[in-house]
Amino acid sequence: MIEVFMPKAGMDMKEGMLIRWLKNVGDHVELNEPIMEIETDKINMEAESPGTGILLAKLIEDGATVPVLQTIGYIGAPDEKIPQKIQDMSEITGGHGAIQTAVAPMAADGAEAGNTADGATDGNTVAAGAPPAATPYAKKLAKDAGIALDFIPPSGPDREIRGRDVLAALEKYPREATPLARKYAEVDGVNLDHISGSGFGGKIQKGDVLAAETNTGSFAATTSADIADSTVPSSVPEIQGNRRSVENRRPIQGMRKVVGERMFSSYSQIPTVMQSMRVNLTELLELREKINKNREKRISVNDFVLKATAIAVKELAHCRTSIIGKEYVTYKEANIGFAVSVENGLFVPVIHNADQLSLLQISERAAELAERARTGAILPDEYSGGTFSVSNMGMFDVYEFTPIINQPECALLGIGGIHDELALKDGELVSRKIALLCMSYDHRIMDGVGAATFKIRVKELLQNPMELLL
Amino acid sequence: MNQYDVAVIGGGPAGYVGAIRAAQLGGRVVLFEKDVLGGTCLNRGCIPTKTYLKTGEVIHAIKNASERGIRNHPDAEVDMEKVVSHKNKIVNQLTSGVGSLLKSNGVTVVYGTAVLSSTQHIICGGDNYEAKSIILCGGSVSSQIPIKGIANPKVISSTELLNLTELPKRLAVIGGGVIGCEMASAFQSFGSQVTILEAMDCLIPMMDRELAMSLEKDLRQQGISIQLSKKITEMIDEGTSVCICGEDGTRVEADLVLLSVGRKADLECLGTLKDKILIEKGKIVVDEYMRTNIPNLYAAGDINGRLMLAHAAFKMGETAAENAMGHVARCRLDLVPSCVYTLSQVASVGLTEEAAAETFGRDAISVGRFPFMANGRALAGGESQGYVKVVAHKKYSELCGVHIFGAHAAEMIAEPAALMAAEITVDEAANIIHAHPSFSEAFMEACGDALGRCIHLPKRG
Repeated sequence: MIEVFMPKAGMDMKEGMLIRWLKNVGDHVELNEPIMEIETDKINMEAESPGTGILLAKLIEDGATVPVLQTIGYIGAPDEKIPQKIQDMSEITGGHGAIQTAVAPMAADGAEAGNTADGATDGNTVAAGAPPAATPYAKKLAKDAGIALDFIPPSGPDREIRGRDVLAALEKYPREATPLARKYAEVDGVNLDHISGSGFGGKIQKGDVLAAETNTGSFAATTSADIADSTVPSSVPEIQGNRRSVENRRPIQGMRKVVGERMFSSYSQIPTVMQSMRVNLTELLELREKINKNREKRISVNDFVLKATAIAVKELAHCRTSIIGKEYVTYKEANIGFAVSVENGLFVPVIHNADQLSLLQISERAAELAERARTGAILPDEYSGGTFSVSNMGMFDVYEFTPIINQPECALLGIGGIHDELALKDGELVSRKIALLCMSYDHRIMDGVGAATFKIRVKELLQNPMELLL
Repeated sequence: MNQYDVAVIGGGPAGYVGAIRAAQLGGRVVLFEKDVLGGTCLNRGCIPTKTYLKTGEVIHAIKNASERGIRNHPDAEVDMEKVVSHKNKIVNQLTSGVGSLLKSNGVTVVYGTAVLSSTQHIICGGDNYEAKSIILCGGSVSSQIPIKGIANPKVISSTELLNLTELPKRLAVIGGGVIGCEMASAFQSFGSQVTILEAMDCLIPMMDRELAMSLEKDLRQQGISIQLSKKITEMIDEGTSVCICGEDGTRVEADLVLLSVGRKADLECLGTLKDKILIEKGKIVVDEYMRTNIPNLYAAGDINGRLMLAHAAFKMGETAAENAMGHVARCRLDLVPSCVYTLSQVASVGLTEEAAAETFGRDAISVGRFPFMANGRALAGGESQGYVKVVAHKKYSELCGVHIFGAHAAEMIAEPAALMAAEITVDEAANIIHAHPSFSEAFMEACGDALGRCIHLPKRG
């Protein structure tokens, strides 16, 4: 018996989402053959089989998020039995149906009654705590309306609850919550809109609010079915009025979750100051035109910025300094990260020792890393080890912005869009191209002068672009 | 062939209610009863004791009538033979009423001891019965404790006590729980000299400590002798009396001893399935749906030991029947009121003050009290003993528990029980207009006190 577990694909990875199984229960799998697709906090990747044999069980469904190294399946010989404890919750070869995703209020009962069933001797144990049988449409209607299925009288031939039964129940009983449930929701800041009521006629009780509170923030139990359900706009009209109505709900997970956590951590922990400086890119743009004239792969403004930044970072030790624990730690390398927007969030690939690379090399490396980031093929080593980062919002016509520092780095240099400006030069009216260098810096590591010194150096390099070609 | 949708074993509160409910839902139902319909509650418990307690209350009223300006002869006496026959008359009326209800709902009643022969078969009186679902409502019997000399005809259970035609001069009650206290209260009123011997350090140990203390004080005032933390080592037969010896060397002489140390599930009906049904601590294990570990086999009432109260059994029987008929019903037993019908009654619903303090922290709860001494109706009725105590969770204004000590506690508890089941907050309860003068006002005032805004109490320091 070989356990299939959620791989740990990076030092920071704490949990992973199973996007989908690539094999079915009963399929033969080979060692190192891809058997599932997972989403880590940073990328999507295929994960390989830890052994050869038959995929005996899947312990989690597509879309579920679990901690790294948690067992999520078993591979073994066709007649091997998976551990009994696990068997109850899994899809087994020759078994019937998929994992039950119990209706929230019933889940605890199920666990309790499941123990009760252990004593049965005729093998035909009670499906205790299982939610009442209902058609998928009925389940969806009930879920959208936030009522529990328990109290809906079934009319189906096999005593299953059908869609019409849910609609009849909704008509009969308006959505209600007890005063105490409302009080709990108010005090604890819980939205009653999508809570299932377990009281008479689906009335929301205190226990339902508490159950909803417990479920919040725990994504392990979330399944793809839940996500799919919750993003479908409600087909039951919301009550009209001056209140907000929910369009959909989605768990905060995967990369979005990590990006959010990092931003919050940086924003709340670092005394950040933003300082901006104008830079004249007229000459740089002219030079770039000449360079790009006969080139297929064009050098971007950003490549110049990366190169200038790398040089300045290498020259100025305080720009390579982090606070680690109670110490200032200064790194030797000018490893320059640059923000890349991807479908679900943000990546900051790193060009290592960028100061030692030519402008052309930087340009090629940046293009390659950005492409790998966008396609999810980037490797952990390619987005770690940075000492300073850059974010260019110029192509989105942003004039000025306040970047958030990529911890534990000391600063992040933002570049705004280029705009035309008229100026007097030797008494003559001239047109020039101006952009804003917007740098957020950690005031614990450097002061205003330190930040300005860095920007002045970058500005100098960008305004004398020939230096960047040396 | 005797084929049914639902078979119910036992015609007590869980059984007859379950049978009626299953019949209401269209089931073909059979109910087996080995004795008399109505179970412990009607025949040997709730109802007979209440007739006795009312009799005691009347004697008490007669004896104290002079306080109200009535000239009478306060040496009223009970005629036990008539007390018993009066009780029997009421019991018969109720049990035959249960029979009529079952009949009107088309439930077949079979008298005899029924036992399971398979998960869907029952044998009773040599006949075979088959049912798709079976609800076990075998009830309970009085518990025994192993004490030297306890096998003595003068040591009796509550069942026998309720059929006594001669009043014992000295009655010792072993066990200060609900049954013990009620019987002590009744027989003390009748004229017996009663002594309660309890192993724990308080009476009615499951209830709020303050209520237990109040009850103890009240019973003592009635002349009942109470010995707590009492470990009994031996009972010595002394011919016309029994001597109860305590571990501490004390001896209590009594003409009759009531053993009321609790009740245990009666598992006789399990038959051949007794090793297959999951049992823990002598009780059948069920979930909130009243399901046992075997499909289509349910257990409701005292037999599952979840809560040995008739009104809990009613709900459990109903729940089992609905599930047996293919519906989905759960029963919550956290808001079941419990009552003691002593002269000053005790009634509780929800968490005790101790439990609430332990669960949420002493500072998180607020306790409101209102004494009947400050209630006009109670004063006018000469029933100013006692109080209403409300335990609330401050943060959520939640009514966590209500505890009442006083003359009409058992009736009064219905209101807080209803409000708590409906999840009404303490603020709302305090705002409900109550009739004046009435005992129930005390509950509203206690809610006000919990919020620090009681009108009819002096301002808190």
